[in-house]
Order: sequence, then C-alpha cells, then structure tokens
Amino acid sequence: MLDEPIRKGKGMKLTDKIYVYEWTDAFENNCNSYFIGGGTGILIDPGLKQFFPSLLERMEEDGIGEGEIRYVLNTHSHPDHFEGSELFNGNGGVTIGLSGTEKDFYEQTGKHFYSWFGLNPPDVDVGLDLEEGKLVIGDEPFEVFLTPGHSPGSVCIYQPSEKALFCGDVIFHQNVGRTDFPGGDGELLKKSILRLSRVDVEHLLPGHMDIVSGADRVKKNFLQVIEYVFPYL
Amino acid sequence: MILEQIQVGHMAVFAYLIGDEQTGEAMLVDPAADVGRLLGEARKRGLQIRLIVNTHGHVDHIAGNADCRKETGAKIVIHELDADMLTSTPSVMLRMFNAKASPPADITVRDGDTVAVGGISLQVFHTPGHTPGGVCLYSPGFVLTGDTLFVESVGRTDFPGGSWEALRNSIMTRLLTLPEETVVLPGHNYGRVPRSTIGHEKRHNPFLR
Repeated sequence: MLDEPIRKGKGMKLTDKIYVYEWTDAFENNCNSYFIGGGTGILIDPGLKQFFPSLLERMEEDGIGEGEIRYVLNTHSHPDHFEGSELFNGNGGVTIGLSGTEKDFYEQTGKHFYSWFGLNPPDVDVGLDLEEGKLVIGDEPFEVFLTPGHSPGSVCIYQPSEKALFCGDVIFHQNVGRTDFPGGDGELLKKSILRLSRVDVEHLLPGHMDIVSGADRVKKNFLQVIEYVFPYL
Repeated sequence: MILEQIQVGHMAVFAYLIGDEQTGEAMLVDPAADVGRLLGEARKRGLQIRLIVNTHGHVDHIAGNADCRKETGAKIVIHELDADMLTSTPSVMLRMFNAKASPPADITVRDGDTVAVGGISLQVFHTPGHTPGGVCLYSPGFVLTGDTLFVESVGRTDFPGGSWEALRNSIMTRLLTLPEETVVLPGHNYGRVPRSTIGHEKRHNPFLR
C-alpha cells in the first residue's frame, strides 16, 4: 500500500474549456483544482505542494502538459489551496494571482496559519492582483468577485462564456466555508453568498466536495444554504 | 516584456505593441493605421496579437481595428462608455481618415478592470474628459495616456462629450498621483519628445498649473 503513488480524486472534462480535478480523499485534506483551457491556460487553486504531482498526472491523462499552465489563480491563501503556487516561483511563463487584500492578510496573519498544519509558509511571487472587476486574460473575459468571509480576501472567479463560478471555499454543495479560521467572518460570508446567488451560474465549482451543475440545481443549492445554513452563521 | 511605441498614419498617432516574449502573446493599443506594419512588428518579435485595446473611440485611434481584427482574430476591448462610438463613426469621417468602420466591441471594460496577456497585466483607469469613456492603462513603471495627457499638453475637450473639468480632474486625481518616475506614453506624438514622465508633466505641463 505504502508504495502506491499518491493519487486521489478523479479528473473530468466538464465543458470544452473546463477540466475538473476533484479531491475525494477523506483523510488527507487538499482542494479541488480546475484547469481552464481554450487558450488561457489557467489553473485554479494548485493545492498542497505534496499532492501537486498527482494533479499533474491527472491533467496529463487529459492531454494537458505542465507547460500549458500559464496562470495559477488562487481563490485564497489557505495552505490546501495556495501552497503549491510556490512551485511556480521564477517560472517566467507562469503568472500567479491572488487578491491584494488576501496577500496583505497573508503577510500579516495568514502565514502563521501554515504552522498549525506543520507547514512552512511559502513565499509566493504574486504577479497578478485579483481585484474586484473584469479580468481579461488572453482574449477571454472573466469577472473577479471579492467575497470575504471564509478568508478576508477570498475571491470567486466567474467565466461568463461557460457560466462557471469558481467559488473557492465561499459556498459548497449544501454547505459553506468555515468562518472559524483567522480572518473568518460569518456576517461577511452571508453577504458574499447572497451576492453570488444573483449571478447567472450553470456550473458551481467549489474548492472542496462535489461540483453542482445545472442552473436549477445551482439555484436550489443557494436557496438551501441560505435557508438551512445561514441561521448557524 | 516587449513595449514598442510605433507612430502610424497622418495624425502622428502612437500605437503600442505590448507583448510577453515568453508566451508570445501581445496586445495592440490603438492600431490606428498602417496595420500591415504593426502586424509585421509583432511577427518579427514572434508575437501573436490576442487583444486590440482602444484608449477611446475616436476615429483616428480605431481606424485600423477592422483590418487588425480580420488578420489576427484578436478581440476588441474598449471602455463601456465609448463602445457605441466604434460602430457609429460618421461615414464622412471614415472617408476623411481612409478608415473602415470598426467591428463592435468584443469586451467592454470599466475603471478597476484588468487587461492581461501572458505575464503582463495593465490596470484600466477610467479618465473621462477627452471622451466620456477614455481610459489610461497602467502598469508600475509606465502609463499609456491616450488622448488624456500628452507631453507638455493635454487632450482636446471641444469634441462631443468632452469636458475640461472632467479631463483636468482625471489627470489630477488618476495620473499625477502616480509615482513621479512613471513613464508617460501618450496617444499622439505632439510634444518635443515622444515620451515623458509623470514628474516632468507635474513640473512642466502648462495646462496643469
């Protein structure tokens, strides 16, 4: 057993442009990662460094080489999403993105969070400030929503052409992101989720657990979360 | 990063070729004329044009959009308030500038948005005054000022939608607040020299006294 390579979760082509790499292991925490093709080459949330080779392996099975990664965009700075970004430091062909708010939080507070998990906080060369507003990468437009609550500078990335919302740890299938980590805030998280609920989404692509596909299912998921989870926040 | 200031056409317009040599991707800002030459400059450097960005909707800056888009398939980006101007240029103006009508905008932007190719990202500053939807494009170290700010001069405000108050406010609050060493890259070669700095304009631009 121990000799088996670490290889958790499945890979799947969701649309012509979007590949989903879910993390399904219940014991070792890591995030869902997403690759956006169509000439943009965006990897959303590379996850932990130690599991990154497994992600690359799964991407290769879909015919995506490491060299096709041009942007590594992070929804927030928690280790299970962001740590692997460090592997792209000094790679001139790759631009690393994080929101300015989250970067400030990371420098002041978020770094210490890594030691809780016995990890060294990475020193990531962030080259792209993921600010609220439109973000045109190559020739593909995206919208960046600043959605604090789980972490102060959490962002969601919306791709209008696919009606896909990469929502990090803000909202999940039938649940929401934890607010008990440093910088977490339940009231802000509620506001962020209410805002997201008004976006036209066909694919809700969260940072953990199942994705939600189909506009009606996505809508229902927001309603369920608002009705059943909000009272606990 | 490749950043080329290229003078085109009869109006001394500066087009800008901005590209990432590592990824081979680039944007053309204001491909006003001489599209063949602009694309030749891109090819020579191994760059593929992904975006055509217009600093504003005046015909002398958008006249090459149609040819450029046809040749490269690049998408056209402009501020949402100037987007209508792309497709409403009067035919007499088109003839005067020997221009083809521009295709409509593929992507509209507003203040605070980001335009990125390869490892280069430019912040969109909405700087109305010359036109309602004029923008400047900023990256630490340089700013493309379109027809908002020229070397020791400023854009005209006597065209439809122009406003001196708005222009002055845009320049004072968005441009002169940048670090003094920021290189000013204007939309026309109207000055003594083709480029300047924010510090120089603060001290020597007679319109900003």
